[in-house]
Amino acid sequence: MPIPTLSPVWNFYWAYGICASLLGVIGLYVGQKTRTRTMQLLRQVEREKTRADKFANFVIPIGLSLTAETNLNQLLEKILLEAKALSLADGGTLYLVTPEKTLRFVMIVNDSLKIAMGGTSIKEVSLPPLNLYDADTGAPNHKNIATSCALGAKSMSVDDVYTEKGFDFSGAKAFDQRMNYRTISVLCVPLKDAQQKVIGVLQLINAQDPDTSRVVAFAPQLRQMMELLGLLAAAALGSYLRIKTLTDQIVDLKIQIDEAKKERQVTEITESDYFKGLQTRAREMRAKVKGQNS
Amino acid sequence: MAKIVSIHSYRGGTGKSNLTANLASLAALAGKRVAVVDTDVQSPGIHMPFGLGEDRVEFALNHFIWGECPIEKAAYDVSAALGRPGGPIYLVPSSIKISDIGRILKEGYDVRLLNDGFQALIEKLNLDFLFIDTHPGVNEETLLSIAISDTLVLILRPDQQDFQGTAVTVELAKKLDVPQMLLVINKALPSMNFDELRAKVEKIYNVPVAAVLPLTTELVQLASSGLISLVHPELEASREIGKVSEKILAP
Repeated sequence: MPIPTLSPVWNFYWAYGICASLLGVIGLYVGQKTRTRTMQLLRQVEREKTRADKFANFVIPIGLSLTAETNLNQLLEKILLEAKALSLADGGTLYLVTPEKTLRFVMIVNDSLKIAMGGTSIKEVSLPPLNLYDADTGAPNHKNIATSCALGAKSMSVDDVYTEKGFDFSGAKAFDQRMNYRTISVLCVPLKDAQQKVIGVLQLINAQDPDTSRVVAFAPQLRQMMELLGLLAAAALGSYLRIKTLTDQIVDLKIQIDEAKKERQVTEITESDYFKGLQTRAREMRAKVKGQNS
Repeated sequence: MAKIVSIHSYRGGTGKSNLTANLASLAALAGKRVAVVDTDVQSPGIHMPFGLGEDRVEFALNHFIWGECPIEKAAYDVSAALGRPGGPIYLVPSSIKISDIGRILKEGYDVRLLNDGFQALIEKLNLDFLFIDTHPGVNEETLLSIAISDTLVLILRPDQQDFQGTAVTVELAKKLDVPQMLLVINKALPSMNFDELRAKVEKIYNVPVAAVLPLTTELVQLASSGLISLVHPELEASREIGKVSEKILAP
């Protein structure tokens, strides 16, 4: 049976129809693509605005409120909790550099594990300090992210501790196993005083996506924000420690009497004829008054 | 028998004149007949809280020392500064004229004259209390004031130099058998532990600390305006000064 052929008019309609559909699909595709890009741009603008708002509305007021804190434990706790809240991190640790060149754990918090040690909580942190230098060789200890951050005086972040090769996270991994937890992202920020000396390290664990609450890496903008908060926190801490040292000196040191010097000065005066005469007259006078009164 | 109270500090700037003015005023308000002598001829200052202007001062302690007037002529009734009824309060100022200060520094004076002056003042004004605002440091004049005192109030700031200097003064006062000695710590930083400070100071000198006064901006401003314990009795500092006064007024 011969295949029926279409008339040229029908051919034209078919071709027109196909072209129009194709154009429509392309239009739809391009439109969608443009919309997605516009949405992405809008989201980025939104994020930047939030970040600027956070700087102005949170970081600076937090920094100011830190300077007003007069209790050391409350100050330390505020630094850690505010940083954790601002970065939407699940946990965090605050370390202070000790005169023995170690990093001492002063406070540990973790929301999902409901852990709070140090600060104003009644539980003390019992973990041993981290050595900034090897006890035997004296070499700087860059194995831990916190010690490396303190030694290099710059912030450091790791997206996933289980794929990270640069640092030793055996401590975190052991903690995870014991607590049935999963440490993923880590951010460490040094607390530098006005002389650029590192006095502590602020460490945040597991940043969370604000929309999905999924654990994500610490975004570069967040890192920048935490660096600024670290600066303000260090200024508050530095000023607290300075005043504390000054007060301790006044109360403890300045009450020392140089007995030898005192004796020398007293003898010099009491051996003078004037003093001896005065002493005799004062005694006579008091004896007289005593006589009158009795 | 009049009671002689000397207020002394090892260094200047301790708030000595201000404390003297407040203690003397509280004694007058308790109905006592009181006189204050400013023996700090080099840097007089107690006329300020009593509001005694230079124009009112014809004769000062300097003129008595130079034999130009009897001491009672240099005593001015400043009871009005109390602002309420009490015993009379007189002030014998040191001259604030630069030429007079220069002359006394250059010529010096026989400190025994001071003792004669004090006794004459007690007698002539029939005093219950004579407060002596001394010159800071240890010299013949301050030693005399300490020697004739029934009560010696030593005011110090909590710093190394004052602690050391006060140790010397306490030792000298003990050798001069002063019957009552009281320490007043002034300008203590509010961040200090006052109880601990008081305990440490008492242990070191074996002398009671009658008051610890804080260093606050408010207090500095108020203190310069005059008699703080009368104008602002609600302040902690005023209550502390009141405790010193009670110890002095106790028979």
